[in-house]
Amino acid sequence: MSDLNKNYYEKITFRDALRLAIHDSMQEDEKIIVMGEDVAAYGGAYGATKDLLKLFGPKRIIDTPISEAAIVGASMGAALTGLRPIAELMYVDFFGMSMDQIANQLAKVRYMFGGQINAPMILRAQGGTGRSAGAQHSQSLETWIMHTPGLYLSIPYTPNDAYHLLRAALKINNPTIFIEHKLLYNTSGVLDKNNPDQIFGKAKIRKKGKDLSIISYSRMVNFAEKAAEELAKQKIDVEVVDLRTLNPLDRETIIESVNKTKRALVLSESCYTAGVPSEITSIIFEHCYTNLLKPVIRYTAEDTPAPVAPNLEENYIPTIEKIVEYSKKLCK
Amino acid sequence: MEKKISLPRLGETMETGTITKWCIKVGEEFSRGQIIAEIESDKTTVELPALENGKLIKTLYQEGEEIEVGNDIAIFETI
Amino acid sequence: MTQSNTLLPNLYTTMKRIRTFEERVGELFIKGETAGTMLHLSIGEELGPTCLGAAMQKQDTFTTHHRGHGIFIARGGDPKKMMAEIAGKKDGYCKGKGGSMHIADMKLGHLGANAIVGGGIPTVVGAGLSSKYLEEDKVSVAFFGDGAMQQGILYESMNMASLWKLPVVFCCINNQYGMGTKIDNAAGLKDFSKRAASFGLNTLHIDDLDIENAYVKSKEIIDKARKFEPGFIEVECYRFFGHARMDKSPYRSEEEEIKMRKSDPISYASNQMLKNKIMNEDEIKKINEKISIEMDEAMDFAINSPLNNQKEIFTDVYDESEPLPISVEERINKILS
Repeated sequence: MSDLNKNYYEKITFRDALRLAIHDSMQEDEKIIVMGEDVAAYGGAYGATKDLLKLFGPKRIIDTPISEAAIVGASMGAALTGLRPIAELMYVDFFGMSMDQIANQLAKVRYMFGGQINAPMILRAQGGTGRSAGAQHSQSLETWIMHTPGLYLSIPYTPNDAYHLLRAALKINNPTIFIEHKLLYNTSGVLDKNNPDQIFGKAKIRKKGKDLSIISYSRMVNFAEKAAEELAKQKIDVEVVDLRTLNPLDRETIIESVNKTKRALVLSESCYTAGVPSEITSIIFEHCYTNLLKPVIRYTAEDTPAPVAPNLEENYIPTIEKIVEYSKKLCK
Repeated sequence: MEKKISLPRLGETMETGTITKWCIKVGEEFSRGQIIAEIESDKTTVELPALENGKLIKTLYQEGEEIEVGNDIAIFETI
Repeated sequence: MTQSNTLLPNLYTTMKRIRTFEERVGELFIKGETAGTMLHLSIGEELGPTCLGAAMQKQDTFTTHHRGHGIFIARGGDPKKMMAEIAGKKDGYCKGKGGSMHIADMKLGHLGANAIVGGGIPTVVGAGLSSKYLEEDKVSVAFFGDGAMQQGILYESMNMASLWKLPVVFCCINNQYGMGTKIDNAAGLKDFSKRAASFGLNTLHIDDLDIENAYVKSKEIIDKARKFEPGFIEVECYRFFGHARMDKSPYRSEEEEIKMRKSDPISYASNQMLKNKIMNEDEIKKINEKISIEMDEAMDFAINSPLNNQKEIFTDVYDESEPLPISVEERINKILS
């Protein structure tokens, strides 16, 4: 990608949209630095910081040792004392190595210290299945973050959202966890720098419909859209809701959608039990109870670690065929 | 016996690749495991080893041309 | 230095088996037969796993990092079952559910390969603890890379091993790069033995290609560990290819790569054998051919091994006497019925 300075891109990859967001933000605010494993010389394990070292130099694009706890902790320390770091964990699965710094430090400093101090940093990470990367490299751990008060959580699907959500997160004074999906990096879409097409914290209706609400986020929105196309052929009009941020969560849009369609399928790659879909299902039950024609269905990954074998991995998470099947059953 | 070498899929999302460097010349003999070309994909550049011993008869693409995964890129003679 | 007429040939054979196995994994990748592409080959790094593998005793255990095929070959891993695992097939060591980065075999003392840097290190502390408690005379060795030298968990583990005098050895296979980051940009102090010594461990630093000497010195460290003096071994080497697959490494200079690829432990051992008339060219060639056939068979075995049953998604989460987790499909159908 040669031209970083355009305002409109007809077709840009999710990865390049992120790169642009980091680039544009860093040009505007010299307090922004990037730190993580292989972000500089290597350009990021998934290419999200490619060539930024050349543009901004090693003081602002920093290769760290493989020390996840210290990466998060040191980024937080820098954020407390005047910088705006974008820290990167190569995989969400590395939350494990750094969870104290995320949950006990970053999420709680403002509160514990009575509002004296805040940590305006972003922690980017990527997750999800699709590369036969195995149990320790394929997880969807947004639930761990959503369950931790004090942390904002952005989880974009389109390149435009990736760009604008990242830029928005760099302007607010709150730590934001930014989760990307490994299979979204190569997907493409429009990027309009002048049209965020969003208000931070609001969900996006990807497709309006009247028969069934499929509520989802990240890569699964793509599955929801494909299923909706298939269901349209069978005269079932699906509304696809892309949550975009899990904290702040746009409860109003979820409730309004399901009160309208009276049926809901919550779609996610997280495990079934006690995950983000459980929270959304509860919200729908609490606020749409009298309108629901059918129980809310959560369609998620299995309650197991992710297998490597491709023929198992593809059935470990939701499939488009089954989304269609369950949707039809819901609409019977 | 004449055989062909095709462009392998070097990553899950790879649809096309480019030969950035031919590492053997026409007429040259190569052995299994020897690097015969460098292939660039959307993500990375990979060194491509020969899967058997042979002698290169013809290359079907030049350095820099974009090639679809699965297309033949060279013809060789087994030795 | 020549120990005997069988030591060097044995060490050479193991290194050559590792090299050939890894080359076949590369071929399997080109053929599109691997489960995914997260394959971290140890081509060029054969010396460390080989000499430690030989210096350990039959009952000893170990864990590895993601670049761990070599030590398992050295410890008797079956190339067929390893290759089938890398191909994600039913006949793999872990039923194809773990893949290259999670190969394990409790029977051969392989307590598991780990994809989290440093993730497998504390395991050997526990293995050492139980060995001492159960009086089993087992040493447990953790294999990891230079990248892991910057993980806190390593230091917690070294301290525990030292404090409780455990039969444990920490072995750093230092190929100078943590993925794309050169060791100079990761390590505040590159003298790793100094770090380990500060925890009270016996240390060994191997930085040449003399594998017989490396074997003798490694054995001393492991034998001391068996007497409850934990140890640390650093083996300097070079990763001939990229972090994964046969990727090029743009963060390494061409000159460095060309130079370091000549530092080949297998060529060195071969030349030593010829020079000291331990083996002649024909004998070495015969060994190489036999290994080539062995690893070709492993590759074919993996390709022809069947896929596993979908039910395997649900097995091995809990003990086999426990019920399997309920599938999402079952739950949804029950709600909708």
